[in-house]
Amino acid sequence: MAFQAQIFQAVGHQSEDSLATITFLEKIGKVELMSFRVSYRADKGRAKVLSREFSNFNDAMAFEDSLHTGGVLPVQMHYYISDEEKDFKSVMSYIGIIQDNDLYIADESPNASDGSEQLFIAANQLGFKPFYRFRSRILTDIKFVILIGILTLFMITFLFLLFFIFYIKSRNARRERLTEQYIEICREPLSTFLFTYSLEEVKALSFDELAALFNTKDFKKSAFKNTLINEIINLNKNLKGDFKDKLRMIFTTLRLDDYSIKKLRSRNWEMQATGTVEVYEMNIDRAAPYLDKLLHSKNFVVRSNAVRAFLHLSPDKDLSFLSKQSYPLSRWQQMWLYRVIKNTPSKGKIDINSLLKADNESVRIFGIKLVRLLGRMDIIEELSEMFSHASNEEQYEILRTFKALAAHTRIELVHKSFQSDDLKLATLSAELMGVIGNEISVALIIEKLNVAHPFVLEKVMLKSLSYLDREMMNWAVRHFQRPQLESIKLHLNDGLLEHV
Amino acid sequence: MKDILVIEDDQLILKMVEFRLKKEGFNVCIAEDGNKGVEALEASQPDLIITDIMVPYKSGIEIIEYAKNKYPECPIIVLSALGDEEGTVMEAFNMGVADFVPKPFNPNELAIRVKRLIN
Repeated sequence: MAFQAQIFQAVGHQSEDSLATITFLEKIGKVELMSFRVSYRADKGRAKVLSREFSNFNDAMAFEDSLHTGGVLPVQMHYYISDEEKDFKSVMSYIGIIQDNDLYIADESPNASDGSEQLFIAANQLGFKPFYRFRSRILTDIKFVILIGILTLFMITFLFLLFFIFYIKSRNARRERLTEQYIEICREPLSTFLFTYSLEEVKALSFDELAALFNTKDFKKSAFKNTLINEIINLNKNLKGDFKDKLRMIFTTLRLDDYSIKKLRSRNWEMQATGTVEVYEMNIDRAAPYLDKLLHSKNFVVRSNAVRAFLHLSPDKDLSFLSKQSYPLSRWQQMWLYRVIKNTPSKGKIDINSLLKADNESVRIFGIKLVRLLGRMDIIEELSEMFSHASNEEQYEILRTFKALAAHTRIELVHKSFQSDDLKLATLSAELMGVIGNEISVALIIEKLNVAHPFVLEKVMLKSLSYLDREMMNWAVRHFQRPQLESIKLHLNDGLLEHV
Repeated sequence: MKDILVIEDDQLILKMVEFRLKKEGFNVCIAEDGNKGVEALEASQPDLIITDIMVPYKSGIEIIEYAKNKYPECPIIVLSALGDEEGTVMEAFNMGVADFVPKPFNPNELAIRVKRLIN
């Protein structure tokens, strides 16, 4: 009884469940992954026909009803889940899962009184379409976008640089070809001017006549002018005699000197430097005033060339501009300047005193060197006066100058500096004493040899002593009995080694 | 017509010298570097050689040595910017060069020296 009650209860439950399932299907209509078909007997019951697939249960029901109405029997509903036919029990269980997890969208809400809920339902029933038509999953990843952006930037920069390199290379190649062409154009006329025309004939030529001989429409172009200037300067360096005068005449008649002076006024340092070299090489005297503001240029190349050119072109070789220079004067510049001064006929009139009074130590040192190199004995007194408050480097140069000029009158100053603790000063003084020294020098050297000194100093002292008084030198070595002195003496007495 | 071989790397100077000597009626053969100079010497004997010391590939000293071995009687004039260096000048004369013309030079003077040596 109880068992039967249980069975009836179970069947009752099952009936309730089936009804609920059907009700649910009717209410919902479309269920995810479910489809329906209706089978019926056609052709007077001889063939079983399966209808087309219905995605909506209500449509399948309507079709079934229509068959019933048409007297077609038997009719049976077939249920499919994921395109596989399932029995009703499976359908009930599937629907149960759908219901429990709310995995369905109602066709219409039973309490749909306001329109917004209906709107949501309607919207939910629409298939998803992205708002942005061309949106892709990749572009939603920000890191990926950044990476692609950076790589793209690199590629663009690379391509730009590549293009730039090719452009510059081709431009340079074009310029080189052009320069070679211009050189070929220049050679013949220059040779003709130099070897066919006399100086007077060249002087008599006008700008148009000269320019016409080059036979080129590019005459007024900067590239041609620069090439022509370079060729003329090259010849000027290698030729002498009236050829230099002819070249200068050609240079000025063709107004290339104006072009070079124009470069001095350029803001580009390379143009300035080129201009200074050109006016220097071609001795364009009237360029001297334009060089004035380049003398204190921040650019070393411009400054060096301007100083050299100014000194070369200015008639009185006034070095006062150097005394105002705040930048140090490099050895290279000093060499350049000395070369210009050396070739000046009026060396005796060059004002070196202004250099000795300069605030710039390197300029003062250069001034001292000039005294030595130009043999300016008249400035020895001034050097002596500045010795006491000069820097170490200046003192060394002064002593070297005294030695070169054999300044005997300065021996007292030399004796004083010999007593100095500065090894180099003492050494230079000892060396100088060997040239201009006297009995007092001998005594001072002997006194100093009483104590051991570094090899360099002892060697110079003994050498000077040997020049002044060889006997005293031998006595000193015997008296002081130091191995170092002995070996130096042997070295000095060796005919071959004494000058080493 | 006398043949003169000129060995000089400076194109402009080379052309100048060539122009000047041709004006004097000489047949001028030019070489821009040491190798071409030696090739020219191998090809034929010139009546006079003018060479610089500092040329590419082979120095002027090597060319002089080669020329003296191959053509001992051929006079050689050295045309060089190293005229201030006594050692170079002495070395050149010791090797048997006939004349040394320092740069900067006067092409007319060079032409006179060439004519004197060739004749």
